[in-house]
Amino acid sequence: MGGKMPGHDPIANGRPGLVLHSGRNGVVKSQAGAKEEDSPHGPYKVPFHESFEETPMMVAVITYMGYGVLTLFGYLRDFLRSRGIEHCHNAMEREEQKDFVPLYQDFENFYTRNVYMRLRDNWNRPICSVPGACFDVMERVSDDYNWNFRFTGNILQGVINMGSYNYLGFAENKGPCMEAAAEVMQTYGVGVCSTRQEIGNLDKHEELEELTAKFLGVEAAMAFGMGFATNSMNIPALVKKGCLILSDELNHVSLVLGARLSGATIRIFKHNNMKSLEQLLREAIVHGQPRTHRPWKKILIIVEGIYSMEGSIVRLPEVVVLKRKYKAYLYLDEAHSIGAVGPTGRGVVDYFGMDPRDVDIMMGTFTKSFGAAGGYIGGSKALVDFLRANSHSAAYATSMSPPVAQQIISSMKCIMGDDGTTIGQDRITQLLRNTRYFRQRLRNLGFVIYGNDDSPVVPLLIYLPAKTGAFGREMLKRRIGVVVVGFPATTIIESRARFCVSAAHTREMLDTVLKEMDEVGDLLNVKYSRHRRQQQLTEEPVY
Amino acid sequence: MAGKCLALVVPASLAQRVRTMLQQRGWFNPRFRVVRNEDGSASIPVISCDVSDWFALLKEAGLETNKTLGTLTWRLAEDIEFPLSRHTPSPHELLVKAISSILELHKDSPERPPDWRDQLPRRWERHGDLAIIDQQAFASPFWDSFGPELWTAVTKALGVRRLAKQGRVQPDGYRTPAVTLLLGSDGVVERRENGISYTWDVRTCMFSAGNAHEKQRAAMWDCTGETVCDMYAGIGYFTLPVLVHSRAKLVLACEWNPNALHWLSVNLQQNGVSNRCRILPGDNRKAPAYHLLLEAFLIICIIRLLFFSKSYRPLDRTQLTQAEEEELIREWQPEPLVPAHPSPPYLNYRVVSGAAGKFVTVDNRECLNLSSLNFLGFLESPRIKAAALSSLRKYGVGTCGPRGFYGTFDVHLQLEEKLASMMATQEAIIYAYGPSAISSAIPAYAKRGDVVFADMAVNLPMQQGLAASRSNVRWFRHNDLDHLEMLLQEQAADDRKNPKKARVVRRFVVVEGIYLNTGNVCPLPELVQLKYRHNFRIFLEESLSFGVLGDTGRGLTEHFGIKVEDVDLICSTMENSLATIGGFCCGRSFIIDHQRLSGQGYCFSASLPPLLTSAALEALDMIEEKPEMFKELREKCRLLYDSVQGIPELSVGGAPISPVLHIRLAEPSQSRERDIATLEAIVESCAQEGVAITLARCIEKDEVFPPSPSIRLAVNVELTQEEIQKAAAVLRSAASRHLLE
Repeated sequence: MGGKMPGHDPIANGRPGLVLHSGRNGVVKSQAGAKEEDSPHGPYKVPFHESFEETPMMVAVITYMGYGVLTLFGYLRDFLRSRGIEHCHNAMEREEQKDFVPLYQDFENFYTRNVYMRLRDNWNRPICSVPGACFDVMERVSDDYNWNFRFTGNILQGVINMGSYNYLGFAENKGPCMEAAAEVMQTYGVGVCSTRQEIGNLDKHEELEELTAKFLGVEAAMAFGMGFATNSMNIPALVKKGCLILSDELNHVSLVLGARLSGATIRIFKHNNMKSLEQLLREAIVHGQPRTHRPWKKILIIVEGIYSMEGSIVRLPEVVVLKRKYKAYLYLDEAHSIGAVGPTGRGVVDYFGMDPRDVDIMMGTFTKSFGAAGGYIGGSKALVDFLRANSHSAAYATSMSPPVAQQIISSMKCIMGDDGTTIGQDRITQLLRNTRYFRQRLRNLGFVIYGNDDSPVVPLLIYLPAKTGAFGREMLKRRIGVVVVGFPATTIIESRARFCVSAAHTREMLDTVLKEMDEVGDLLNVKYSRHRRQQQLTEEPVY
Repeated sequence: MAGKCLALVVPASLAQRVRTMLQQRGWFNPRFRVVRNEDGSASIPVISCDVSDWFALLKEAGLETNKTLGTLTWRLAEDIEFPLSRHTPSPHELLVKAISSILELHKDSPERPPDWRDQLPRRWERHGDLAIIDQQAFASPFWDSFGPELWTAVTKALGVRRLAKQGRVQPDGYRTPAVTLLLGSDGVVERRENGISYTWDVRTCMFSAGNAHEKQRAAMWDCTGETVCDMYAGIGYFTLPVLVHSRAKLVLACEWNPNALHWLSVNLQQNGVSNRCRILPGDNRKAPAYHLLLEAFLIICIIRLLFFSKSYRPLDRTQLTQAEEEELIREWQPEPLVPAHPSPPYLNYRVVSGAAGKFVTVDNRECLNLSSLNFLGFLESPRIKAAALSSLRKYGVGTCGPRGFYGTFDVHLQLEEKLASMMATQEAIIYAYGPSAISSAIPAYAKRGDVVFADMAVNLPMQQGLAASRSNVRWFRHNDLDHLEMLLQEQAADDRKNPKKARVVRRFVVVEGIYLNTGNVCPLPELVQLKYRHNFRIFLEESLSFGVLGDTGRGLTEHFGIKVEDVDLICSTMENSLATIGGFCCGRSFIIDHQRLSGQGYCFSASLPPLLTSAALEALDMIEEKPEMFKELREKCRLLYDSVQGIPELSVGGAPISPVLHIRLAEPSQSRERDIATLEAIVESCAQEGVAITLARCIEKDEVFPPSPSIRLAVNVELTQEEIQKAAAVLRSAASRHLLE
C-alpha cells in the first residue's frame, strides 16, 4: 500500500540498536528489522498500518499564500472599520465601561474577525433531529457575511450525517435503549441535585460502574457526568507537583487542561512517536527534576486511543513496553476508540489484543459510541477507591443524570451481548466494514486521507482555508453533513474535513457520499494524493 | 657639423606644414635640420627628384608659382649648407643593428626564425648597470647557440654591463621574482630615489619603480615623535622614506621574506637609520602554541554561544555513560500511582435508590431529604419529566458531538434565548456540565498577567478556573469589601508606579451570589459601587441564588434591585433549582460571545443532551408561570434558619434567606478528622431517625482555603412547616446525644 509517509513512522524507519522487551513472555525482539509495518512484528499482533501522506510542496506554498491574502485583507478591512467606512458588526463594550482596561486585546480577535467569520457557516449548524445516520439541519442564511444568521424556517431533511461521533449508531430515538432510559427517567427524574459524595450516589450509578468495569475487564470503574471534566478534574487528583506528565503533542484540550491544573511538570512528545517518548523517559529518569535534581515522584504518560483530528491509533503495544521498562504510569483516553475499534468493541486494548491491566488508567467517554454523555475511569480497585475519595468530580459536581446512565447501561449491555442479541456485535463488525470500505474508496478517488486503516475517524486533507469552507458548503448543498476543521485545531496548512463513519451508515449512504465527494473533489480540485494511479489498478474496494 | 644638400625654400610660416608633407612622401632628408633664413623664409633639406612633382605638392600646400611679380613664393636651391640632424639611433635600433651583424657572422648557423626581429626585447627595466629584459625576448631556442656573444652585443646596445631576464613571478608567499642572470656575476643593484639609496638583489627581491610617487607621498607625512608600523616592509620601500624624511621616532618593520630582510637591514645601514628601526622578522601567522590554543578556545566559545546556548535548559547536564544511565533507570522507583492504603473519609458512598426528591431512600431507609440542592422540588416534577420524555423520543439521549460539529440542537438555541430573556441580558451560553461553566468562563477572559480579586470562600470549580487562567489572584476575606478595597488600593498604587503596565492589566472580581461553602449572601450593591470606583469587572456565580433569590427567581441582581448590566458575567449551574444538568453564563454579547470560541468546556465538550435541555426549558417555564414559589421558598428558608438556632455546641452559618445552611461545631477540636467523624455520627443518627442530611464534602488538600467541616442543610420548597420543624428537632436531639455526652 502506498500513502506512507516515512517522517511520521518511527518504527517503519527502523531504530537500529534499540531493543524492545516484549513484556508478556519476555521474548526479546529487535525493532530494527521492522521495516514493513504491515507485518506483525515486535509487540504487534495485528497488522498496523497508518498513512500520513506528505503535503505537496506546491499546495503548502499556495496555502501560506492564501493565509497571506486573508491577512492582508483583514488589515485592510480593520482599517476601513476603524475609519467607519465599513460597518462594524462586532459587539461593543458598554458605554459606562469604555474607560476600563479593554477586555480583549485587539489582535487576539484578528483571526476570528477576518478569517473565521468568512467560514463560520460551516460550524454550529443547528439540527433538529436525532443525530443518527441522517439528520435534519435547520437552514440558515446570513445577510451580513456570517456576522448574524437568520433561520429561513426550512428544514433540510435527511442530510447524511458524517460528522457526529455516533460510531455504533446508538444515537437513536427508538428501540430498547431509549425505552429503558424513558422508564428510568420516570422513576428518577432527569437531574440529581447532589454530588456523589453527598446524596447523589444513585444505585443506577453503582450499576453503571460495575458494568463498565466488567465491560473494560478491569477491577473497578467510576463514571462522571462529563467526558471533558473526567480528564480535567481527575488528572489533578492523580499527579501533583514533583510528578512528570509526558503528553502526546496532539492530546485533547481536556487532557492538557487537566495536566496544567495538576501542577505537575508537562513535557510533550511527538505524535505517536515512540522514539521521542523513550528519549523523554530516559532523560526524565536519568536527570530527575529540573534544578533540584530530585528524582520524579511519578511519571504519567498520557495518550489517546484514537486521535480525533488525525485518525491515528496509538501505538499502544510499544507504549506499554516503554511504560514497563521505565516504570511509568499510563493514562489512556479512549474517548474515540471505546466501542469504535477492537473485535469486541473494547477499544484499542482489545484492538491490539492486550490485557486491560497493562494500562493503569483507562479513561473514556460515553458520548460517542454509547450515544449518551459523560465519561469513566477504569483501573485497579485502589485507583478507583482513591478517585471516589479525591476526584473533584465526585465531591463538587452533580452526578450523572439517571436516564443518561441508563442509556449507557443499555447500550453497553447490547455491545457485550448481555441483552441476548447479537445487535451489538453486528454493529461492531459493520463499523469496521464501513470504515475500511470508506477509507479505501476515498483513497482510490485520489484524496489524501490520514490515519489508521481501521480508524472510523477519517480526516481528508484540504489544506486551503477557502477550499475548506467551500467543501463544507458544497457537501451540505448535496445533503451531506461533514465537519471541516482548520487552524488552530490543526496546523496552519493542514485544514481538513473529518468524517466519522458509523455502523448506522448503510452502503448506499456511503456510496452516495462517495459519489458526491468525487464530484466535489473535482470541482474544488482537492484530490491531492500522488498515489492515486497505482492504487486504482491494484485495489478493488471490498465491502 | 654641417653638410650640403638640395633645399626647398618656403616662407617660414609654412615651413612646418611643408616639412610634414615631404616627410610623408619620403622627400625630406632626415640627416639635416630646417634652417630659418634672415629674410623670413625657411630652407628645408630635401632629396632631389623630378621637379615636376614639386608643383603638385606645393600647390597642395597653398603655394602658387607667381613669376610675374618677381617674387617667388618658393624656390629650390642647390648646395645649401644645413646643420646636421640631432637624431641619434634608439637603443632598439642599435639592438637591431647589432643582432643583424651577429647574424651576418653566423650565416651557417641553423635556420633563423623569420620573425627574429619580433623576438628582440622591446621593454626592459634598468637598475644601475643592469638591465632586465622581458620574458618573451629571445624566446626561440635558436638564440641559445650564440651564448655570451649575443648577450654582450645586447648589453652594448642597451648601454649596460649586466643583463638579466625576467621570468614568471613564483606563486610562493614571498612573490620571489624568477630572474635569471644572463651576463654578469651577481644581481645586486643600487638605486637612488628621493635621496634614499636602495640596494637589493634582483634575483630575490622585487622593486617597483612605478611606486616612486607613492613613496614620495609617504615621505611627506610628518611623523615626528611617532611610532610607525610597516606591516609589509620588504626591502624598505616605505620604511626608509618614513625614517629619512618623515622623521618617525621608531618604525616597526614586519617582514617574513629572509632575502628582503637581508636587504632591508643593508638599506637601513646605508641610509644611516638602522638605530630607529626595529625589524620584526617572521610570519605573523606562525603564532606561538598558547596563542593558537587561546584562539581555538575563543572560537569554541563563540560557536557554543551561537548554536548551543538557550536561556533555560532543564535537560542540559553532564553526560552519563549508557551503563550509568541504565543503572539509574533500574534504580528509580516511582511512588505508587495511588496510595496503597488510602485513608479517605468519604470512600463509602451512601447509596440512594430511586429519585432523591423530597423523600429519599438512603441505604434502604426512607428519609426526609434536607441534603439535595433541589430547592424548587423540580426533580420529581411530572411536567418536567413529560417534557424530557418527548425530547428523548425526538432526539434520543446523546448529542454525539460538540456544539461546533452538529451538536447544536434547536432546543439548545431555545434554551439560550430563554435564559437570556429571563435574565434580561443580551445573550446566554450553556455548558454541558455545571462546574465547567464557571471554570471555563474565568480563563476565557482572565489571562496571565491579569489580576483577579477573589473571595476566599469561592467554590472549587471557581478556584480551578482561577488556576487555569494563570492570572495573579488576590484573595480578600469572605464578604469583606473593606479588605477588597484595601487590595484594590494597593493595586492602584502599583498601577501608578507602572502606568504602562496598568493600561493592559485587566481586573476582575469573582464572587458567588450565595456561597456554597458558607451560605452567606454577597453584598452586591456595595460591590457595584466599588466597581465603578476601581474599574474592575464582576463575575458572579449564582449556582445557589439563581432560581432562589428575587421575586421571580432571577437571582442576586433582582434581589438587590441591581441593573443586570452592572454585573459583567453571571454564571450558574442548572443542576440545583432547575434540577437538570449543565450550566450557563449570561451577559452582554460583547462578553458572552467570546466564550463560543474560547470557553474550553463549551468548544471541546459534547453538548448538553437534548432531554436535559428540554427539562431546563420546562423548568424555566414553570418558574415564569408561578413566581410565588420564591416567596414560599424564602419563608421555608427562614423557618429552617430559625428552627436550627440555639442547638447546643453547634453554630449556624448562612443567611436567613439562603437555601443552604452550614451547621458547624461551635468549638471545633484541633483535629479535622475528629470533627468530621463527630458530624458524620450526627448525620448517621439523623438518618436513623428518618432525616437525610449530609456533610458538605470537600477535598481538603485541593482547596485553597479549606472550609471547616460542616453539615449542609438544604431547603426544598415542598417541605412543609412540620417537616422542617421535625427535621430540626431530629438534628437537635442527635446533636445533643453526640455532643453533650
